[in-house]
Amino acid sequence: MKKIFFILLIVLISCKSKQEILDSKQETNVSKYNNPNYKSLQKFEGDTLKYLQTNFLLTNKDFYKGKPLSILLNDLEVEVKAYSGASGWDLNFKESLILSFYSRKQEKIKIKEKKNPLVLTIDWEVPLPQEKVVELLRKNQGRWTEEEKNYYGQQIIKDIGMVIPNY
Amino acid sequence: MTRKIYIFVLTFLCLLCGEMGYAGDVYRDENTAKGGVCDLDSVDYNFCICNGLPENCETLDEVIIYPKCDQRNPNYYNNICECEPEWCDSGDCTDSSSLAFPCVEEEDTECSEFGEGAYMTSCGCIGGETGIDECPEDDTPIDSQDPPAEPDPCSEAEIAAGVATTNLFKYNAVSTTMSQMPILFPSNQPPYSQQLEHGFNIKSVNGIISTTPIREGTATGLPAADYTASVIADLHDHPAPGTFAPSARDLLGLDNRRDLMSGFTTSYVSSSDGNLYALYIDDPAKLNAFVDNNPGFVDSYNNFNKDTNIGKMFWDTNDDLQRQGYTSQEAYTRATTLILQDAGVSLLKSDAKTIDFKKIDIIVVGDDPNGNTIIIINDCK
Repeated sequence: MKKIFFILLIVLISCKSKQEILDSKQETNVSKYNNPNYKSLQKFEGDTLKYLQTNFLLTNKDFYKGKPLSILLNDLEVEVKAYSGASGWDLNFKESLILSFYSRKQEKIKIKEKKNPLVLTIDWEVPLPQEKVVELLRKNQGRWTEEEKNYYGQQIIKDIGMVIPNY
Repeated sequence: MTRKIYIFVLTFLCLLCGEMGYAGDVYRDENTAKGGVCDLDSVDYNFCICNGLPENCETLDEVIIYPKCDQRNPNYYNNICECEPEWCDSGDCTDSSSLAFPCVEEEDTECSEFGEGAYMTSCGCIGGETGIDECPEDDTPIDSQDPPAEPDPCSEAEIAAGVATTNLFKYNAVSTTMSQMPILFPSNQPPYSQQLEHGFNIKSVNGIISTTPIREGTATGLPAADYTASVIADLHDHPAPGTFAPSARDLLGLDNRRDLMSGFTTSYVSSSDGNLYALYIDDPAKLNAFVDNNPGFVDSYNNFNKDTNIGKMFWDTNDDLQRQGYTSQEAYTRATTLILQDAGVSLLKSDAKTIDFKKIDIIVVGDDPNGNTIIIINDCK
C-alpha cells in the first residue's frame, strides 16, 4: 500500500511540473511560427510602442512579408480594437489595412494629448475588392470580429508600416 | 492481477493530468462564435430574419419606409443626435466624456488691441479698454408674422465661395474651353493607363477672363504648366472610373499654386462620377500652415497617406461613411471635407450639367456603442 501511495505521489508531482512548464512556455510566448527574433510583450514592460516597432517593423518585418496576415495576428499580443482600409489609385480596391489598438475615441484622446496612437498599417500583395471590404464593414458595423480576422488573415502581406504622428 | 489494475489506474491518472495541462491553453484562433441568425459573429447571421423581415429582404421590390430612428432608415445617421442623444458628443468642455474636455481659455487675438479683458462679441469688441461693457439692445422690431427662417449651415463667406466659383465657371471663355475637354464617360472605357488627364488654366487680366490651351497629362496626373502671374484658377479632370476627386495631391497643388500666384483661389476637378468639384482657398495662411504641419500627407498614389495621422483620420472617416451607407466616391469626397476643415479650404460641388457650386461638409457628432464615429452631412443649401 505504501508503494502505491509513493508511486501516486511521484505521478502527481510530475503532473504539476508539466503544468508549470506549460505555463512558463506560455509566458515566454515565443513566436508561434518560429520568428527567431520575436520578443514577447512582457519583455517590454508595458511599452507597447517598442513592442510593435521591435517585432513588426525595423528588420523584423521581413519575416512577415510575403506571408498571410494570420501569421502576424497569431503572434500579435495586443488586441485589435478598430480597423479601416486605404485605397491606392482606384477606389474600387483596398491596397492597405490599418489596425488600431485603441478604440477610435481613445485614439482621438491620444492624438489630442500628442501621444503615439499605436497604429500598424499593412500593405497587400494583391489589392482587395471594395465590395467585399464594405460588405464586412456594414455587416459587422466596423468591429474586428472572427470574420474580419479570417478574411484579412488569408491576405498576403506586402509591407508593414506604422502611423507616424506629425507632433 | 492487482498489480495490473494499479498500472492501469496510474496510466489513466497520467493521461488525465496531461489533458488537464493542455486544457489550460486557450488558443487564439479558437472560434468563440455562438451561432444563430442574430449572432453578428456567426456565419449564419442573417440581417433579414434577425430583423423580422422576409429571408431574402434585399431582393424585395417594395420600398420599406422605416421610422426615422430605425437603423434601417437610410437617413438614420442624419437624425442620430435626436435618435441616440447619448452617442453624440456634447461639445461641452466641462463634460469629462466629451472630447472638448477640459476647458481651455482661448486667447482672443481679435480684440487684443483693446488691452487685457477685451473680447469679441456679435456687436464687436467689448470690455478691456473699449469702455463698452455690454452690447446695446437691438431695437429692431421683430415682426411676429414672419415665419422663422430655415437655418442654413452656410456662413456668408461660404455662400460667397459658392457664388465666386459658380460665376467664374460660367464665364464664356471657361465654358467654351470646358466644352472642348474630352468626354469623361465613354461607353467603352479604355484601359486605365489610357485614361489620360486633361486640363487648362484660367487667367484674369484687367478683369478679362481667358484660358490657356488644353494640355494632356498621364493617367495619374497633369504636369504643371502655363502658370503665370495672372492665373487665378485651374481645371483638370480625373477620367478613370474609380479615381477620386479631388485628390490629396490636388490639395497640395493648391498650396503650391497660391505660393506662386497671389491671386490664385480655385482648383476645379472634373470627376468620372459626373460631378464637378472646386477646392476654394478661404484662408491662404491656414492652408500654408496645414501643408507645413503635415509633411508627407500625400502618398505615391496621390492619395492621403495612411501612415500619417491626417491620412489615418481620413481613411477612418472614409470607412465610417461607407459603413453609414455612402458610396466609395461620396465617402471619399466627404472624408476630404473633414481634412479641409483644418486647411483653410472649402470643397464645393456642382452637377456637371447645371453649374451651381455649393459647399459640402460633414460634422462628427459622436461615437456609437461599437466605437464607430457618427458623422452627419452639413452641406450648404
